[in-house]
Amino acid sequence: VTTDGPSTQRSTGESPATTAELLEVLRARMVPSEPLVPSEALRTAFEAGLGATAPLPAPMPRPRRVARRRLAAVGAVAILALGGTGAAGALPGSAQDAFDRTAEAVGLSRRATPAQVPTTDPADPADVEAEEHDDGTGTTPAGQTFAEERVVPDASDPAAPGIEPGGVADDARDLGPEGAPAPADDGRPGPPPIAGPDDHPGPAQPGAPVDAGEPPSPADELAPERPGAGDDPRTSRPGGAP
Amino acid sequence: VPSPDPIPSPRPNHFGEAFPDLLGAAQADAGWAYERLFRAFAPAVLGYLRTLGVEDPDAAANDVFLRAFTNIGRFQGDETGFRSWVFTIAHNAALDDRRRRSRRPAIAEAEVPDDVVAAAEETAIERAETDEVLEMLDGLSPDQRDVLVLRLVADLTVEQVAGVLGKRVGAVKALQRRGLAALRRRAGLPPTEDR
Repeated sequence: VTTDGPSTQRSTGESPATTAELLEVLRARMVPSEPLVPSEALRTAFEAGLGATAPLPAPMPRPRRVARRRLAAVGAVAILALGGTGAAGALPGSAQDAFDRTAEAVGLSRRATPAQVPTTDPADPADVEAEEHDDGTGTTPAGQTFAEERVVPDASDPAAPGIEPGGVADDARDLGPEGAPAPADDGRPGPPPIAGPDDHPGPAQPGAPVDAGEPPSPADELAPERPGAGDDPRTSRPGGAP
Repeated sequence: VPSPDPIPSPRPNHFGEAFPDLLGAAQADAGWAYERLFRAFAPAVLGYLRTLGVEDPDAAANDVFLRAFTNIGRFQGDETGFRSWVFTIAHNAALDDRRRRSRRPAIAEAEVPDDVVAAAEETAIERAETDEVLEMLDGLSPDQRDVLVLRLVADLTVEQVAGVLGKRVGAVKALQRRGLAALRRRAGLPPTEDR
């Protein structure tokens, strides 16, 4: 049998005449005769077992941000279905119960309301990317674990909340534009406090005159003495003997 | 009367009755057991990945065994089942490689240094036979190629191939029949057996 196609000759030089012979030739050529060189990880495993190689990352629980987003979606659906929230953002009874059950299931506080649940903007590319790259190992692409993740305001954005002009203080020494290190305490008493208009007098200092109270007004001194609350009108008559 | 299987029956198992002890040792993280399993199955896995045109078959085959040994504690079965399980991992690795390459844009040809060319020629000579096999299989669909290579290289039965590929036994038989017919045409053999 001759063919213009690829060579399928057997080791004897004959061409295969049957399917079985053809398959035998193919099988012999498909399985390489040279051994496969094991990789470094496999060599380590051959010597000391897989316990000696680097362990695979254990699967981490689902990130809370996804749970929060799901909870926010549940809350939004409940609000829409039941005609909105009250003035304080509370849901009607049955919807609040359903919301609480969901909150408990995803590990948030039981009495959370939709207004209290932090959400992330689904259009935020950073959030979308973080979710796409979630490989189940509990790490972000940069290798930061979700547990360690913290939100850092964008210092370049002057409108970002919580950022004063001059940038975010990175440590205790950064006091902002006008800040200066506080002088060290030299042990001497500081200046007396300046009393404000609403200040009440403080406790008496040693040596200061005792407060005798408010002085009587002149009108009080000239007024005739009137019977007190405890006087008995039956035993006290005007002009009578003392 | 069903027609006999045209592909020769699988060869006898490599380890035979010793396999359960070997598997138990590997599941107890014994390095020597890993090595024996690797030596027994690595040539076929490497041939399978090469024949399917995986870009770096050596690295891919190493990954297949590392993955298999990492998960060997969950495997239950005999040597035939183990072979089938390892080739399922290899098949998934080949699919990953296929997807990865289909997503990657083509790289423009650049000027290659002479020493690199010489090394490549050596490698090409070493693998000329594999290239011929690839050329033989060129006219087959990916599914037909998967079936024939798993039957020939991995020594799997039709039922095991169906399990690896996630297809029905009847579909695997049909793919095998059409694939063999294409191979016969390619080799200049008559459409039906003449002897």
